[in-house]
Amino acid sequence: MHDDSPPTGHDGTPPPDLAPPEAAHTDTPPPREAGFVFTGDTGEYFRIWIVNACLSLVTLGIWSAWAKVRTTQYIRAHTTLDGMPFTYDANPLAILRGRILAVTAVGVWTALGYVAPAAQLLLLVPAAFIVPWLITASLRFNARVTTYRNVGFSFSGGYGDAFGLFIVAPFLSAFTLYLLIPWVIFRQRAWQAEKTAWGNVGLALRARASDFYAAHLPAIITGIVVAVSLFAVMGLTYAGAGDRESMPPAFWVAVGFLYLVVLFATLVTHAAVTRLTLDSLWIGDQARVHCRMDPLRYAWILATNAVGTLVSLGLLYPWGEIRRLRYLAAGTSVSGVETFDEVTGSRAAAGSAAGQEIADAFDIELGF
Amino acid sequence: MRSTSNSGSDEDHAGAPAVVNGSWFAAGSARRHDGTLTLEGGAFRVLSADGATAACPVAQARLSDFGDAMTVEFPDGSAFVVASGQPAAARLRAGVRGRAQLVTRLERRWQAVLVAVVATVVLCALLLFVVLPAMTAPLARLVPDAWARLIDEQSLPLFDRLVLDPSALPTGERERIAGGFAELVDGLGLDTSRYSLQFRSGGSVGANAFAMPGGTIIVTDRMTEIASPAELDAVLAHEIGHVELRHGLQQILRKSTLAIILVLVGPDAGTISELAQGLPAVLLDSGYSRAFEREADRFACDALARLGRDPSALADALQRLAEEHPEAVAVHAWVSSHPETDERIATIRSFTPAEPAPGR
Repeated sequence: MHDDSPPTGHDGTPPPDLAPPEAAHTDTPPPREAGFVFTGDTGEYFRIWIVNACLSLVTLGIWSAWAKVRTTQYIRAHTTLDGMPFTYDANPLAILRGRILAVTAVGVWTALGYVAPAAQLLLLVPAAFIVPWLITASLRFNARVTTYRNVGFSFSGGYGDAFGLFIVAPFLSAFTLYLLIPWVIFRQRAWQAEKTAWGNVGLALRARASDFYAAHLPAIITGIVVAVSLFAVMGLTYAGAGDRESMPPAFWVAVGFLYLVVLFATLVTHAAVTRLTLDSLWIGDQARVHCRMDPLRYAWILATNAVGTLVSLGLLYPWGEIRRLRYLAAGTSVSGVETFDEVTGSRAAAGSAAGQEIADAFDIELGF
Repeated sequence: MRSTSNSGSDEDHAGAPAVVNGSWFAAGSARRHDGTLTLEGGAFRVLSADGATAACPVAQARLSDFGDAMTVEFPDGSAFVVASGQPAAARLRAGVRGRAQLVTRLERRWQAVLVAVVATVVLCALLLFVVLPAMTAPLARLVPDAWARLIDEQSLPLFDRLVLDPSALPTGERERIAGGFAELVDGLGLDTSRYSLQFRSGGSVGANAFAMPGGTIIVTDRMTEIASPAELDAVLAHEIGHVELRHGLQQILRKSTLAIILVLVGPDAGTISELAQGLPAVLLDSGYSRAFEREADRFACDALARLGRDPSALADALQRLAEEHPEAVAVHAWVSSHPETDERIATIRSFTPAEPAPGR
């Protein structure tokens, strides 16, 4: 999984480029820092979302490709960095083609699960070879349709790296009691960053593997505490009740509570990894991203959004998205934005969306 | 320059120019040139503070317009980003309005939004509670029996490994029950070869009976202990109902269709937690199951009446099951796949056959 990209310290030694470059040039003015601002409005986004959702239903899902482009365009246009918006230029027809492929794949997969689970298991083998392609295709598509300051993004990650990082590494980590998972996530994010470029400027993730272990610490501690309390609660009630059939309701309340604790710990970990990834992201050698959001607060926003969406049968989803993006943007900034003037490159060009859509359908988590 | 004409687009093409502040980017460059964009006489004109200029007819430019975030893209690859919060941006928009899409206009009208909210809720309800249930019944009939049996062959070993144990019933007892079952299937004029009665020890499942999509019916030992022969036959008739009405296949079809709908219209995967996607599916599923239980009850009552037996045996069996599983009724009643047992028992007891049994 070694490549010729800049070292990022995955082998344990601190990479030489971790020292802030600005320290070396004390004679130049300090880098200018500019914030991300999310200017989306809940009411406005709700209107766009509901009108397009309704059209998608009426057209039996065909409009959903256009709906996705419109809602994403709204989000990107209202995400500004240093006052400049992002644009999203995906071709809805490309997304529609991807969606048709995705629906077919989900249909075949589900049907096989009932009729021939063994065949579904067998299909896992070709799937393991297709998923890396999906991941690179999806990242390439998303990068190519995104523009900032009239210069487009691009992604050049190859199949081999994706196969190693998303199939081989997670598979091997199963033999280490998943202790390698934070390292795997670190390498995945680093690869994603290194292979992404904005015009002629490459991105990089300057973090250490230990940072990713630290971000997973709350999850690991919660896991241990919950496992111990589950055994304790079960032992206590088992001793009192005598058999499994007559567990008191208090037992189920305790189990439910522990389940919620685990869910929240998952969200906190997700938030911590998101923050770490953003905070370690460099845009070229001079500009870097800072993320100062509070993972606990972000996890709380995610949790309450999920509850709100659930209780409102989905209608509060736009409210949750706006709230989440507003908080994430408010805590994120970039220093060294003055270097952006020198960036060159062409605008976004549309590509095939098949990878992106199938990746979404099978819930393959991507992106920063 | 104010004319008496009140036609907006005419005014913008021929009248007062619309001027907005913002940043211009040359083709292929992220270098920011702050300046102004002017719309006058059907053309855009850019003038930046550092002297850069550009011009282009309105018809050739592309306006990406989302409220206060506006970008004008020119055919040569350059672009102008309009600074937010300027009243003049509305005049700019009016100048190119003729090309606004239908969707954009719908999104801006509150009446259309209101209609969309109501229509979405109504359509979703219609889809989930009317279209999907109505669609899956005929679809399930199209599934070949061999496929349905394949599902049974796949799931029975799984059940055996996870929850069920071999039956401890004496062979004589099994033969008696199997004989009653065959008599039931035969008496109803159904295809005997399609059915397979299986005896298992239920373990934590206790007294119960289930039907699989392909015609495999499982009875637990405890079930045969608590139910009288007539009651057991009534329970078997109920399970035959599940098979004949293809409830298992329907459930699978509904779940798969729901998964596909979620892919198409659901919010992006990943952004919303599993909890939010999973729970509605569980609730919906249990709602569907309730309807299936009622249908199977009706099937059993009809069948028993046709065979000249007393349908109230099913109510008695349900009563015994409820007494056997009091905690299931109390704790899981709100997501239970079995509707409130009392209600089912009352329905069964009030059953009157639709027509007199023929030839009797």
